[in-house]
Amino acid sequence: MALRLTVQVLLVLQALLHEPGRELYGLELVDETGLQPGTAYPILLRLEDEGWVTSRWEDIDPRAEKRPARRYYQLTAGGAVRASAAMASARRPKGAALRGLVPEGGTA
Amino acid sequence: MLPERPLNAKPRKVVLVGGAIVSCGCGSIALLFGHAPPNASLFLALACVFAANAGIVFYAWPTTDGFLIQDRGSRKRRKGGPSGLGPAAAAGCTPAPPTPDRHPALRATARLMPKTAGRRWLAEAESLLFEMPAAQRRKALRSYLLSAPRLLALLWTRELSRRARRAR
Repeated sequence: MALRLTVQVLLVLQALLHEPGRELYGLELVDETGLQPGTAYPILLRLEDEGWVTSRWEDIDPRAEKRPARRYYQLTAGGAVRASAAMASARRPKGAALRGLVPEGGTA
Repeated sequence: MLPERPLNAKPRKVVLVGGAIVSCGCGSIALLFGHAPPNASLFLALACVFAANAGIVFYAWPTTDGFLIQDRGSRKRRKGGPSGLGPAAAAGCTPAPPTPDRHPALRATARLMPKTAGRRWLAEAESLLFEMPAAQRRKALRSYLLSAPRLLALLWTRELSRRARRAR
């Protein structure tokens, strides 16, 4: 099933694209996107199914860290390319629409 | 950051759910063994009582955060104090593993999912809720529960298509 690029999906991709090499865990993603975790999780799952994102459990000793392990998400190389393309194509019509709103010769 | 717990919440919820169970039981007994023959208005009244009680239990269930329904192990682990750490750790002697909050509603939902996917979802949700500020935790928990039906459909579709592919 093809991935539908909704606003929420684009928000997740934007957060992951911010620093493509960086791994983000659930709480960071939720903070950066402003989405609720219940919304973000299925999106991450679908992105992972499509091969855009990889994930792994954090390798820590919960005893020492005094917290449960986190699940980290990162864009794959192919995913980063596709995500950039998706973001660019999503910006284009929005940009055109905004240009229509700005009065000629005026500033936004 | 360790989660804060509403320590006075347990008795209130025990009374709520206990009351619901008792009134449902009394209603059933009255209906089954009552001297008066059951009629439509009695059925209607009892249905209202049952519906109200179901609402109470449904409301109380997800907000128990493991206080009302917990397994024996987690009850033991909580003896140290409200932090969820063991008694020794609560006294500052030895570190104990962090115990994420037990969320019965999340656990029940995870059981409806395919096994591995359910485990992963639950572990991730509990990990996130553990680290989340207390003020946002309830909202996050609700969002997990609200998204559960769609997620269930997604996970089972995935699982069934995987099984079908394997069978071919």
